[in-house]
Amino acid sequence: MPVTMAPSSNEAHGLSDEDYLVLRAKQAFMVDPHAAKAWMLTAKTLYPNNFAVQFEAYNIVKTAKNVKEAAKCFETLLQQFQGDNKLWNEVESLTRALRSDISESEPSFLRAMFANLSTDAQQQLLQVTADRSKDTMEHCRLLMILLSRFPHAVSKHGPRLVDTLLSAEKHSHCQSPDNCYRKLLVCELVPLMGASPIPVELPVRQIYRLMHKMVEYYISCMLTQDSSEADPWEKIFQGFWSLGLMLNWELAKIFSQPWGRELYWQQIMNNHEHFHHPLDPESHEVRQHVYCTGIFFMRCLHEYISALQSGEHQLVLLEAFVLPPSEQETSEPLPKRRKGDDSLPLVTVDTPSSTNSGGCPSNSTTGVMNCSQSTSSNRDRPVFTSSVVAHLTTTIRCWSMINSNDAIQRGVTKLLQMVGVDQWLSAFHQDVKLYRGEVNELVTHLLQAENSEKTVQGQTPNTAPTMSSVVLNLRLSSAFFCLRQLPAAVDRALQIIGMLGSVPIGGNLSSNLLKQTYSQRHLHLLPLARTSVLQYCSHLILSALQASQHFVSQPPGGSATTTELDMCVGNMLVLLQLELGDTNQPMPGAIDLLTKLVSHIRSRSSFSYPIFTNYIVNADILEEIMHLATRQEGSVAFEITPPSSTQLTSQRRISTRGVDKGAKEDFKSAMRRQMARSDEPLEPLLIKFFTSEQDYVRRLLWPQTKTYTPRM
Amino acid sequence: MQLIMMSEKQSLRKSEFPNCAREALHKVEQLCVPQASGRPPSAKEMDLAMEIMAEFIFCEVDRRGHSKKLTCIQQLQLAQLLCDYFAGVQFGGSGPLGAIAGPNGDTARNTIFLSLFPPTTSKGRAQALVQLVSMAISTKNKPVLDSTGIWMQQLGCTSKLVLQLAEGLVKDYFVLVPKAVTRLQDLPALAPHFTANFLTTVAETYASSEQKDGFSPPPAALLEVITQWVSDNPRLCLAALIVNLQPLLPLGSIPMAALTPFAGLFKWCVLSPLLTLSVSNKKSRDITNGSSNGITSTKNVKTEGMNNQDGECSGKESPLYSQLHLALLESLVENVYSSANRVNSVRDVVSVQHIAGIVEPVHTWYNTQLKISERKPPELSRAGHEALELALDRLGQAVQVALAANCAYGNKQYLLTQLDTLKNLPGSRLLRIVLKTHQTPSLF
Repeated sequence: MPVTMAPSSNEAHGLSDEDYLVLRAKQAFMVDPHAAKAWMLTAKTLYPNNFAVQFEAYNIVKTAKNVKEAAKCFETLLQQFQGDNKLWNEVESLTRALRSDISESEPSFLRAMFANLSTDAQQQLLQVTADRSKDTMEHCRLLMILLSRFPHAVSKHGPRLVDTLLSAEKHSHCQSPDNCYRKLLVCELVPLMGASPIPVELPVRQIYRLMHKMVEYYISCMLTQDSSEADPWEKIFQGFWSLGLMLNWELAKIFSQPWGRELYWQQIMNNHEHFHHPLDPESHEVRQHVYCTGIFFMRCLHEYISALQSGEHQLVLLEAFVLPPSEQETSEPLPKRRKGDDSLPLVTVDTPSSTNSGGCPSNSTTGVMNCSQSTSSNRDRPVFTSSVVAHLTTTIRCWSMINSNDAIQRGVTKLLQMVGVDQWLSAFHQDVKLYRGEVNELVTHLLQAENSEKTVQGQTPNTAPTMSSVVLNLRLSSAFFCLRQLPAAVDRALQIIGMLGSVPIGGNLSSNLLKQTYSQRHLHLLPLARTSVLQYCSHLILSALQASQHFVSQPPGGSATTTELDMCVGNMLVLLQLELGDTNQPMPGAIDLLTKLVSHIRSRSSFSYPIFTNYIVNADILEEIMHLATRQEGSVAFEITPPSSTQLTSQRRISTRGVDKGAKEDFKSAMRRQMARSDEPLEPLLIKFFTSEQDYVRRLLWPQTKTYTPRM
Repeated sequence: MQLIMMSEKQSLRKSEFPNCAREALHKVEQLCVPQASGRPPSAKEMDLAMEIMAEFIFCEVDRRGHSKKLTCIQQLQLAQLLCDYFAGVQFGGSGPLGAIAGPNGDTARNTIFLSLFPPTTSKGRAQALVQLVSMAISTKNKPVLDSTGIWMQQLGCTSKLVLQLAEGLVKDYFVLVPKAVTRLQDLPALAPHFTANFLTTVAETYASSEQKDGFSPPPAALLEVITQWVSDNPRLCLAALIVNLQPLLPLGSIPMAALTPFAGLFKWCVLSPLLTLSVSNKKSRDITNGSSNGITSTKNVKTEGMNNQDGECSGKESPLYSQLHLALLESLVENVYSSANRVNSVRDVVSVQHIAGIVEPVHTWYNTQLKISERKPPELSRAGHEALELALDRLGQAVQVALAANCAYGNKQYLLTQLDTLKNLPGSRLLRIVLKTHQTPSLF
């Protein structure tokens, strides 16, 4: 009948009064928790100074998972028995639970209990534990818990904790900025200090150090693709803003706004306009401008670099080809001419098309300088296509602004070195040089890079060509082309074609390589994909051939020999096939070029291209040739097959010349065979052409620039 | 003067009930509540007020002095009218003068309330009071409940009238309506003083020395409500001690000391296991003979004494007693240890005599048990032993916590001496520990 059972006399007999009460409480616990509590309450009033009784009371409510009661008991224990070891063990498991987020029942109970302690008890508990802790990291973590729970304590403990963490990191000799001390400092302490209700006072040097450490940390996370830090830029901006406030930097307030490249840029520009030479690099104004601009630049740079890599294929900025507008007046109208447009290069990029990997020219957009409006109007398009050009131009504008002033340039450079963004900078510097037309410098720089790479590779020979050497050669090729060092450009292009095996398969034929523009120059962001790279190289060689011969304007029998001229025209026909495409959408300028080549052939009585049947399968070209060969008047005599062994002995060639009727039939059937091959994929055909016939191509360009010694 | 009074009555006689009652209330207010002058009403004015109340408010007599009675509907109308009157009327004079010099609103309301229900209240009017308070509880009429709480304290929580009120309310809320608990949940928050005094009265009702075993179990619903009140409101039992009545009373009145429910409710908890056992024993012995303990006990037997084990019938004590007991202990501790506001801690919470009153029924029960024991030498059954130990444990706990929390007042030595008589009973170890702790060492 009774709810509580008295202990058997044996059990209770030898017990002290204290233990008797504890025993009764424990026994009652299973049957009637209220009775158990009544026992504990009685025991506590009987023996207020007995640790065992008080601790047992705590244990009972803890077992019952009664958070509030446990907190009450624990607080009593803390106030009365701080020196007791048993209590200290409990305190330690409590602080351990606070540092972890283990969802096991004991730690979560302890965390809940902590939350139910009075704030005084919480603060006291953490402070005492931190002070007792011998391990620095432990000490810092505990203080951090203290600070995160008691924001008012931040201004008092924060600065000391900054010192502790900085010196701990220094003495730990951690190589990487991604270490536990830095993480605690940057990810937890800086935001806490930023949010402190009482302003935190730090020495100015310390604030700068914090800025460097913070930026360096997040940059290293971005470089190592550490995904554990979400939104690193948001965190950098947030932290930078709060640290800037400590320095009373007006300009740092821009970092509290949501990110918008143009919005930030306008404000930084406005601030920049206040500066008048000469500047004191140590002054408050210059420092804040250096730091704010530096951070902004880093984000632009990072966005640009990321945009280059965000698509299916990485993009690389190269010199592309300009179609002079005067020759194409009838075609599509040009974008409205704007002031200053022609001094800056046109930059184009292809939109990735989800269908058609190859063959058909892809959709394209043209990003032009000052294209922020077009950026916003193209929202529905994949992000990087239009914005990558905007990223490039903003970053270059910012870079130019930084470099327009010595003090600022030095400050920013120093900052960039300190936070370790070299990896992004080196690629960007090359793009800047190309963009600005400092191509000679670019070539020098690239050749240096090539040499140093070679010395490294020299130690490990026979390594397959890497993507970086493809990129290097692409840049060199495009730079040489820009400098009109055509043989060198072609030589590099041929080398690249030899390396195509290491370029990822994919990409589309682009209609953007050749653009009609008022600008002097045209740059293109080329995807590092096999088709794209091949098309670029092919077009570059085609352009080089076209430029080197000027056959159209030359009277027959000029400086070049007839054979060379025929060879050149033949080669161009081969390359033109890629431009004509296998659909009804030829590249811009392709039809014109075909017309020119045909009219050139027509103007002569004979045309000899012995490898014709090997490489020319395009239906349009074949039709034109057939037409020329079979015309009633002034038909051209063609020599289009390599001499076979029988032909060599019989001295008979497939030719339309002469009266050999059999020969004419041979020609026709050869053309039919070629026509039958018109569905043949062009890329392997071209690669074969470039590999097998590179001597032809080289020889055509060789005589013109004696200074150049091609690699064989 | 006489004429004026006559004309007052004449004018009131022109209207019918309940309008006459409404007008009469305003007359009574003018007569009883001291006006701006601060002059208390004269004896004649008070007499007139009493006459008006009897004839026009409660309608106990007609104009010729013959007694009469309101119909049931009219009684309800009256309760409604009084509720509205106390809740809605702005007391304390109408002009600026009155507001400054006159008594404040609470005092005026209490004055009228106490005049309406003097200690000499008739049975009929006591019935009207039950209806009024019952209605005030259900409509959450705080002014009426506050005044009732003061009225209870001034008359004494154990006085006949107050006991009658409590009995009426228990009947209304716990006997007739089974699911009262949820409706009464927030009563302590609404009217703590009233609730505390109601608790005291009810505790005494069921634990008065007039009861045969010193305790008669309350209806289950009442026990449930009380347990919940005390558990949820640790300071509820102290509410009557905290209120300073003086400024709330009519001029010249002396506030009566508050009586807390602690001793009475502790008595419930201590005696409950003993009584549960006796009732179930009795039932097993004489199952057809009914119970001498009245309706409530019979109900208790019917609902709770159903478990037969080994031929020895064991009634199961409601677990609510254990919870109530703990809530009482915690309320005592709360008084001392709610460290944040020690200012609020009150002393003289429970008198030692009052607690010591629990000792005698325990002895009586023990002796009865020995008498009916069929063993030689007479001793307690196993169940009896357990019941006694639980009772003594609870008594020991109550005494210990009350003493430790410094809540007991009076001659502590007397209490200890009384407890000492129990220390040789079986299962009294805690009691001995408590005695050892508090008894000053003997000189011998």
